[in-house]
Amino acid sequence: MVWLIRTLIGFAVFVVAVVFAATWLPAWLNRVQVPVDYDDLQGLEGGKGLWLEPPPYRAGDVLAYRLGPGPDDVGFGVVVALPGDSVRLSEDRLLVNGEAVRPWSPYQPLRGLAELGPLTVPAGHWFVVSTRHQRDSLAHGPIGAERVLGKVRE
Amino acid sequence: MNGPFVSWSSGQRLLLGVALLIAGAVMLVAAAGIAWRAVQRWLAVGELRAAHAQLHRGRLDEARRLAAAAAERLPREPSAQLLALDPADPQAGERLRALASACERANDRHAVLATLGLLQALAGRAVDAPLEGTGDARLLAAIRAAHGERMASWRLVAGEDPPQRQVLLAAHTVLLRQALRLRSRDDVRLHAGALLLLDPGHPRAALLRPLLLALSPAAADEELVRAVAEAREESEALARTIAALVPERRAALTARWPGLAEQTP
Repeated sequence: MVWLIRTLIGFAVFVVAVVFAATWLPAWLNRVQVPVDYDDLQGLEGGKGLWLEPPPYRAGDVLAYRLGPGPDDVGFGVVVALPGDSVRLSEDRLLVNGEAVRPWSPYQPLRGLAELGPLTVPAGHWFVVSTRHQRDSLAHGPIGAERVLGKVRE
Repeated sequence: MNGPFVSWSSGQRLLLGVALLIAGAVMLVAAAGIAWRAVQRWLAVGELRAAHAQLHRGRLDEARRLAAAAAERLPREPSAQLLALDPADPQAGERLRALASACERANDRHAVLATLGLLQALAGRAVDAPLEGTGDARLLAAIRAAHGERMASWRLVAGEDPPQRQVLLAAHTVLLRQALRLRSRDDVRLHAGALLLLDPGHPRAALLRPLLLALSPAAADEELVRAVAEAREESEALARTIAALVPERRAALTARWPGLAEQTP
């Protein structure tokens, strides 16, 4: 009988381990490859693999997100505004809740426009910026949760 | 090793064997069910991503077709159901009510109710979706008021739930139309700018930049004319709109599109 109990306990431990692994491992083994020719965000090397973490996402986190179905349609940006924050572009500077975002490089396609916004960042969306603005929220709008792959692990 | 079983009769051993076989079969069926659901979810996530990509390219029908396929795989997933929804469907309201009551998470329920409220507001009906005290309720009230002769507005209150993207997009679009109709420059600047920040990749977003350039005192007439000309087949209609809104730009636009002189009031 002891043998039977020992076997059942071993089986129960095995089941718990499998359920735990199935629940947590996908989140902890989430990885993304930076496209080889990537140069949109300063400090990120093209071709490098990065580990990703699940939410919550806060200001200052670097998010990885999908911009299309292709393997290279991935973007990276620093979160500057959270859902409910107010974003405004004024005199080539980005203001979040009235405070200027730093560091900041002007966005050429919108140069010459004195004032843009304010826009309230919608629920389940994050406003992200990158150095060259080719794949960030200025070019693609606030990034929705359905597109976010995770935040880059430091 | 086989100690406990030595004293068992063959009938008892057979019973234990059958019991373990049944337990194994049940677990196998459960594992197959979980695996099947995981595959369905994986396929649906791929279809939803493709649907969003099509949506951002302005291909609404293709986006809706992909979302409908995802919704069939995940009937209780609100994001797939919402994207697949056809606003022209007379049953859309009832389907949204049923979906809202089936939602397990409060955020999902709120998103579904906001979409229901949006359908009602755009149809000019009273909004009966329970959204009191949220940013969405204020936006929907502004959409309903946007048909009048006074410029509708709203103010989001700190601490309130942020509005849903589809409600925000609709509110800025409807209010931009009203601002253009009423020739309210400040409101045109506000709503066109917000739309350009919210959905810069939308095909019609290219029309917003010339509108905002016209309202920027620092922008030269030549730059404005160049930007309007980039709108190609829509450039003349855009020039007419700008000439009506900003009369001081009319001379520069008329020099490029002479037909405006007779058409613009």
